[in-house]
Amino acid sequence: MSTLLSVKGLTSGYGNLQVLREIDFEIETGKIVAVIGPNGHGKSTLLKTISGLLPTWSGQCSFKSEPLCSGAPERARKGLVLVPQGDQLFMGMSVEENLLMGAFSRSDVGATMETLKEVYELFPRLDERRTQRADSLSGGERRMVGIGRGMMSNGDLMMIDEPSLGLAPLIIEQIYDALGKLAKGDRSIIVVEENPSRVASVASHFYLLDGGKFAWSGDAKELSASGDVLKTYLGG
Amino acid sequence: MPKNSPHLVMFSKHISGGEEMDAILQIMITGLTLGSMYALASVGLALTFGTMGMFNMAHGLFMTIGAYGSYAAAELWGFPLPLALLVGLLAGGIVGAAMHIAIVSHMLHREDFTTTIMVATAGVAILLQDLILKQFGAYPFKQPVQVEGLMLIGNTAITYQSIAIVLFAGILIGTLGWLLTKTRFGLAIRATAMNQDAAKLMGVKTELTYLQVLVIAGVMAAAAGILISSLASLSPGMGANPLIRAFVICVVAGLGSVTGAGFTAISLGLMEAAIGYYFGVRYGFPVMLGLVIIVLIFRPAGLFGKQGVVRA
Amino acid sequence: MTNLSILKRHLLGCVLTVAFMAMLPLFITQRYFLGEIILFMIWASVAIQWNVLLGHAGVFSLGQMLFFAIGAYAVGMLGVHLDWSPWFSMPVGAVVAALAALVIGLACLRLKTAYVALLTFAIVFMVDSLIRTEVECFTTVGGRCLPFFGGGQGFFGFDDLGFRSMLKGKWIVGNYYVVLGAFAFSLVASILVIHGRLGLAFRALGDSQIYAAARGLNRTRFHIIAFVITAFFTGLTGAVYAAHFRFAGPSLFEFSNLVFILAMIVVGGLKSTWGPVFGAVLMMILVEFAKGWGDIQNTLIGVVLIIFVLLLPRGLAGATATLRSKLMTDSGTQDNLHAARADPRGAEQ
Repeated sequence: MSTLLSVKGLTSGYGNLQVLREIDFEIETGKIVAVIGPNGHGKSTLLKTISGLLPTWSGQCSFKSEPLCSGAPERARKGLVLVPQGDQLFMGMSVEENLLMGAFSRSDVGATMETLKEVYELFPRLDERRTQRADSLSGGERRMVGIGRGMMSNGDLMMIDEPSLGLAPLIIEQIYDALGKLAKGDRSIIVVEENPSRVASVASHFYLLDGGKFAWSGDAKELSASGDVLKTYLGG
Repeated sequence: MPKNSPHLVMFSKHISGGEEMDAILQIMITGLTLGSMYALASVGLALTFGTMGMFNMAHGLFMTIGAYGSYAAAELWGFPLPLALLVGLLAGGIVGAAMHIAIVSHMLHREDFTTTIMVATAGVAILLQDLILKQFGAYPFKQPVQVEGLMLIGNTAITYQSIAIVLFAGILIGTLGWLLTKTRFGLAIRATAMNQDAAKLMGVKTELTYLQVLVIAGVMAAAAGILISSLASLSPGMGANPLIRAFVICVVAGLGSVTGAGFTAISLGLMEAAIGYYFGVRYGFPVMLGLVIIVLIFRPAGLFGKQGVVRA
Repeated sequence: MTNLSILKRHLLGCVLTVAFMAMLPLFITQRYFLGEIILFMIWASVAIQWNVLLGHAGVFSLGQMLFFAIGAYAVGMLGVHLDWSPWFSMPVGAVVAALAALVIGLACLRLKTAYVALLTFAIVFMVDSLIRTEVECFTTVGGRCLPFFGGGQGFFGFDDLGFRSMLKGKWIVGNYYVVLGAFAFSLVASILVIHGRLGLAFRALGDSQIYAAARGLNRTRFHIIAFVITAFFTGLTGAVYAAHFRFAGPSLFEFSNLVFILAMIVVGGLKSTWGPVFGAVLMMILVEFAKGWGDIQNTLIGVVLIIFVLLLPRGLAGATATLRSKLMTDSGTQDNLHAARADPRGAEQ
C-alpha cells in the first residue's frame, strides 16, 4: 500500500477567518475515507483547500509523493478530483456536455468514451437524459451528473462533498449504491458527510472533524464501538 | 457622430425611386449590412460580459484600432489588402491581450469588479483614443481595405462592399459559433462563463480563458471596426457610434447572451434601416433606443437573458 | 460619536471651505486664475453629485453630462430664443434637469447596475447626435442659421449675468461668487444626503438588499430620489456654467468630459464625502501642469484613472483612511480599525 495523499499541518480559511487548524492525515491508494462531523466545522473547507479552490495558509500537501502545486486547475490535471457540494453543474450545458467537461484534462479520446459508457451504466437515468440541459434536472439527477462528471476525469483521488445533501432517502440509497460500485476500482475516495451512518458501510477509515481539527479517527470497527463519543459530537 | 455613421453614407448613395419592392430590397440590404456589422461589434462585448462579468468601455477603441491597423498596413506599409485586413484583426487581438495582462487580470478578484472595471476600461478608452489622435490626427481617412464596384437588382444598387461585409461578418461569427459550441476550447469558455469554480475543478485554467476571451473580443471588434470604416471613414472617435449600438444590442439580448446578441443585432439593423428609410436617418437610433427601453420595462433581463445568467 | 455630530462636523467643514473660497478673490486678482478656480468649482460640483449617485446610492449613471447640458441648454436656449436673463433661466434649467432625471429614472433604474450604465450612456449619445444632426433653421442669428437646439455649434453670445456692465473689468469676480454659490449649494446638499436619512437608506440597501427590502426600503424608489436630486444640482451647475461662459453646445457631451470628472471622483475616493473635492483640485492642477508638456490632457487622464483603479481603488480618501487605521493598530486600538472599516463615514477625509 502506498500513500496517495498526505496532508501535514494544513491551515486555511476564508478572508481573515481561520477555519482549519493544523490538519494531518493520509490516504492510501484504493481506500475510501470518510470525513464526518457537524456542519460549520470545516469539512467542505478541507476539501476545497486540498482541491486548490481555497488558498493554503500553511502546511503541506503531497499527492503521489510530489508536493501539490498551487491552483485548482493544475491539481485537477494531476488527478485530484472534487465533486463539490451543491453539484455546481454547468447549468446551460447538456448532461453529456457536463460529463465531457469532467474529462476536460484528458486527451485519450478512446478511454474517455469508455468512461462515459461506464457512467451511463452506473447511472442509466443520465443516459436517458443525455441531451437535456442540466438546469432541467431533478436534484437526484443533478447529483448523479456531479458524481459522473467527477468519474469522467478518471482521477486517482475523488473527493465527494456531502453526496446525500438535500436528497430523498430513496435517492440517497441509489447514490450510495453507486459509490459502493465506484469503490471497487483502484481509485481512492474521500467522502464528506455530516452523519456517519450512510458512509459506515463503504468507508474503511473515519475522521471526525470538529472546530477545524480532527477530534477522533478510527476504522469501521472502532466507529461502531465508539458510539458515545460520536453521539456527543453529532447529537445523534 | 454623424460623419461616422455608416448608414448615412449608404442611404445617400442609393436612395432611388419610390417603388415598394425597391424600398424593401433597399431596406433589406442596408439592414443586413448594418446588422452584420453590429453583430460583429456586439458579440465580443456579450462574450466578455458573459464570461467574466466585465463591461468593456474600451470595446469601441478595439474597433478603432482594428480599422487604423488595416489602414496603416495598407496605406503606409503598402501591404496587400488581405494581409492588411489580417494586420487589423491582429492589432485588435493584441490590444485585447495587453489590456487583460496589464489591467483586467489584476482586478478579476475584486468584489466590485463589475463597476471598477468599467471605470478602468473608460480610462483605457480615453487613453487609446488620444494616442490614436496624436498618431494619425483628427482628419478622417478613407479606409483602403475595401472592395469596389456594384451590381443592380431592379433599380437598387448593391455594392460589392455590402456583400463582402455580410459574407465576412457571417464567416467570422460562424467560426466563433463553431468554436464556442463544438470545440474543447469553446467548451472551456462556456464552462467558465457558467461556473468559474467548477470549471477550475475540471482543470480549466480560467485565467487563461479570460485572456482568450479578450483576444477574441478584440479580434471581432477589430473586424467590425474595419468593416464600419470601409463604409464611413476612419477617425479617432469612430468607435463611439458602433459601441453604443453594441451596448443597446447587448442590453436587449440580455447581457452575456452571445447568440442573442447576434440575432438582436440583425433585427435591430433591419429595424434601423426601415426607420431610417421612412422617417429619416437621424431617427433610426432614437426610435430603436425608445423601443429598447420599452422592451426592458417588460423584460428587465433582456429578450434572451435569464435573470440568473445576468450578473450585476 | 452620534450621527448628528458627524453631520455637524461635515457641515462645519463645508462652511470653512466656502468661507475660504469666498476670500480667494481678495488675494487672487488675475482673471486667468479666477477663471480656473471657477472651472474647478463647476467640475467639483458635478463630481460631488456624481459621487453621491455612484459611490453612495449605488446608481451607476453615465448620464451626468446630460443633466449638466440640460441646465446649460436651458440658459442658452432661453437666452437666445427668448432673451431671458440667466438669473431666471438658471433655476429653470435645474428643474428641467430634475424632471428629465425623473423620466429617465422611472424608465431605467429598475434594471441592474450594468444595464443602468449602458442605457444612461446610450441616452446621452442619442441626445447628442439628435442635436448635432438638426439642420432646420429655427431662427437666424447674425446671419447664421440656428436650429432650435443649436445644432453642432450650440448657443453662444447670449446675455451674461450682468456683471460686465456693473463691475466692468472686475466682472469675473461677480461670476466667481455666483459659481461659488452654486458650488456651496451642491456641497451642502451632498452632505445632507450622504449623512442624512437618505444616506442611511443607501447604506442599508448597500449592505443587504434583501434585508433592506424586508424593512420596507424600496431600492428603485431611493435610486430615483437620488437620481433626481443629483440631477437638479448637476443641472444647476450646468446652468451656471452656461451663464459664466455664455456657451452651451454639444461639446459638453464629449466622452473626455465624463472621464475627466470620473477621474476626479476616483482619485479623490469613491464613496467618500470630500474625496471628489480634493480629486477635482488635484486633477485641475495636474491638467494645468500638463499644459506645459503639450496637448496630453486626455492621455494623462486615462493613465491617472487606470493607475488609481489598479493601485489605489479607494482613492486618496481610502489611502489616508487605511494609513490612519494602520497607525491606530500600531498603537493597539484594534477596535478602531474595525470601526473604520465598518463605517464608511469614519474612514474618510
